[in-house]
Amino acid sequence: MSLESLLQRADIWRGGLAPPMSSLPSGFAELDALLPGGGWPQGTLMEILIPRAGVGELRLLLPALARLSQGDRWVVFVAPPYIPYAPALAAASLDLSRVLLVHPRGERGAHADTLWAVEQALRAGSVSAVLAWPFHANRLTGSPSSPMRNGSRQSPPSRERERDGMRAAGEGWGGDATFNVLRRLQLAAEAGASWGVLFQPEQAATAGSPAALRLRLEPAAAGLHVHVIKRRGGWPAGPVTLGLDDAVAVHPPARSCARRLHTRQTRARTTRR
Amino acid sequence: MRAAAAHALVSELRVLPRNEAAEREALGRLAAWAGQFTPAVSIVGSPVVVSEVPPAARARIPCGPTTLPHRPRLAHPCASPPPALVLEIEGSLALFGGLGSLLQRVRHGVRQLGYAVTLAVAPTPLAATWLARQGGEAQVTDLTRLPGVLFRLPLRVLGLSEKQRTLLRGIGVRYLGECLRLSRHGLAQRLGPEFVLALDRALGRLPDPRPAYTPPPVFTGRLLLSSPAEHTESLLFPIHRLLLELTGFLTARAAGVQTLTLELHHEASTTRVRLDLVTPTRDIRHLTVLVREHLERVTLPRPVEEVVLASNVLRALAAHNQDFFGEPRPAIELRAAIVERLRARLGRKAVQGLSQVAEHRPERAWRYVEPGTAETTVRSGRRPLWLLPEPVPLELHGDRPYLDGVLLLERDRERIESGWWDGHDVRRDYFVARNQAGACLWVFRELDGARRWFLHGVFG
Repeated sequence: MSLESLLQRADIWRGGLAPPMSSLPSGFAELDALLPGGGWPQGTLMEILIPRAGVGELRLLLPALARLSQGDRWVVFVAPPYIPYAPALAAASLDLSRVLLVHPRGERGAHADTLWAVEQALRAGSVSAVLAWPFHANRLTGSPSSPMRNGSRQSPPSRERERDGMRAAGEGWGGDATFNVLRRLQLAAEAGASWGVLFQPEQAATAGSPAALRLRLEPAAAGLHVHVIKRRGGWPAGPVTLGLDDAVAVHPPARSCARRLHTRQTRARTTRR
Repeated sequence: MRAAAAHALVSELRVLPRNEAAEREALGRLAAWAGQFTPAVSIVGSPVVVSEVPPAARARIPCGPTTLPHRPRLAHPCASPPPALVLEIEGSLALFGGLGSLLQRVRHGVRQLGYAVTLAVAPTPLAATWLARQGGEAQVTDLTRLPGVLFRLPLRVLGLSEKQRTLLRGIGVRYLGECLRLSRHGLAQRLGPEFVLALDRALGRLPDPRPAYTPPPVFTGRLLLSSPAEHTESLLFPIHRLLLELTGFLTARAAGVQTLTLELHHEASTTRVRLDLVTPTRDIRHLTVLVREHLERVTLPRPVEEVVLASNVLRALAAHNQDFFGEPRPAIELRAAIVERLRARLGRKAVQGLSQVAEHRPERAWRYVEPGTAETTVRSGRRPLWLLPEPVPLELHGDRPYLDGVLLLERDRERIESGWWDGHDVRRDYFVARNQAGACLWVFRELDGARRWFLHGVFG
């Protein structure tokens, strides 16, 4: 077999050339330049590794989600760590009538139900994006202070709860089993032409993953550092720093002059004190 | 053959009494199911006597599927011929792509429901019934060919009385053709005028209008299990049959169901499973998946002996044209399908939509709603993407709020004072705060009382 005929094969691609896949612009030009196909790859599974919930992972995805919500398919949140706040989502022009929240709290264990729900949603065909927090499933009922877990002054009970959470999640989530689960989700995303986004703890970076794209987020003073750990048709890249505030449309309320004056006076008082 | 003789031949024979009421009910449900092929379905129980004859006769191509019970049955020599269904299919041929394809669909469908079927096609309903009773799968679509086919029919298919049969046997008549050669007058005198009229109707000389079967307003299907089921998995197959009957019934009525009740009858008690759907549907695959998910959550106290599936009021549901590019169902129905599927396993409350509420208090500016029914109201100030279920009190370092380091407040503050009318009044100053770890938080300070600081949201 000659080299040319080998290169003609559809299942063989050369490093450095992104394989053809449909993508959705992320809304951040610097990031699009790094992503294969110039945007978030659609019909695939993607992992975002975060040090804790709420570093800006949702704002990173919002421009793309807002665009997807204009279509006639669902945008699904599975086991979000807190309540996705409707006014903020609407302000980012996300169509709320396409948002579906799933809080698995089944008898089979929330973790198994979370993965089941993610797979069903990805496979359904009527879902454009699935955002899932399989590790933070217990957060909603747990201590709300847990997102600040890298703090030095964390109270002992909450740290213990954190460990319990990790252990419970780790039971169904480790080694080959994890790889197989992710593989299932990847296939489901392909079958349903859906975009799956899993939020994982940073520790998962060392484990192998069949996800098409893996990012690691690192909060920074200027915004958010995005490291590309894995991408199809390319090597790890980054970090690229994004100023997230620019992406979200912020509409300050129109305040009356009296109100503004009042505010100024209060501020003056505060500084004096 | 007598039961004793049969027992002598086959020792392990199980003799079951014939349940004619159940047969009639099954035939009625089959008639309702067959309504998806043609609106003119009629049940042939006993020989039909038509009292009035309309002036003009119409050519008909009915096919009479004769349904026979599934279990082997000891047929008494004098037993009346098995009941049959007559479907007038001439008007449906184009819709279903010709006779062959229509017959195949009917045959396949009836088999899926668990019945054996003999199909026969003839230009008149009576001829079709007789041909089906004979057992051969005759297909006669031409009225001029009909006499030739009917000539060879044995007399037993006519469902004659014992007296008429003895008489005909006495004069040496065994086949219908021999009977037709006799004089009309003599036959009418000896066997009654109905007999001659029936022959005329069978040959298409007289019209033969049949009352169409009217299905009941709602669906109720029951299935007696041949052996009690101890696990829900073994219920899936019988329930699938009932669902097939249901979807045929719904197709015939151009309707869908929104609520289904599944009753599992045990020896002395009943387990009820209720399926609530977001939109009406008659999609067999979707319903099967939902039933499976619901049954997985059911634990049977005792083995199930009988399954009853009942629908509530039907909702009109138009048939959709298949899209050229292959989108089989409208988007709204597809969206409902995944909601129902998730709810079937996780419970109703676990799957929600999200809506804005026109309200200044942040914790009341949103609520859970039925998926897809969100409202969008006026935009408010800068809001975090994540809201904590409850505000969390913050520690103080000096007079500064502290969370993983001293919080740096941004200059702008938003004062929210509202709710004095319902007893949950709120007087707060909201700030956007950052800590050293880079977290962007939404905190507030009470304006009354201890003036404590709280964390209320995260700009995730």
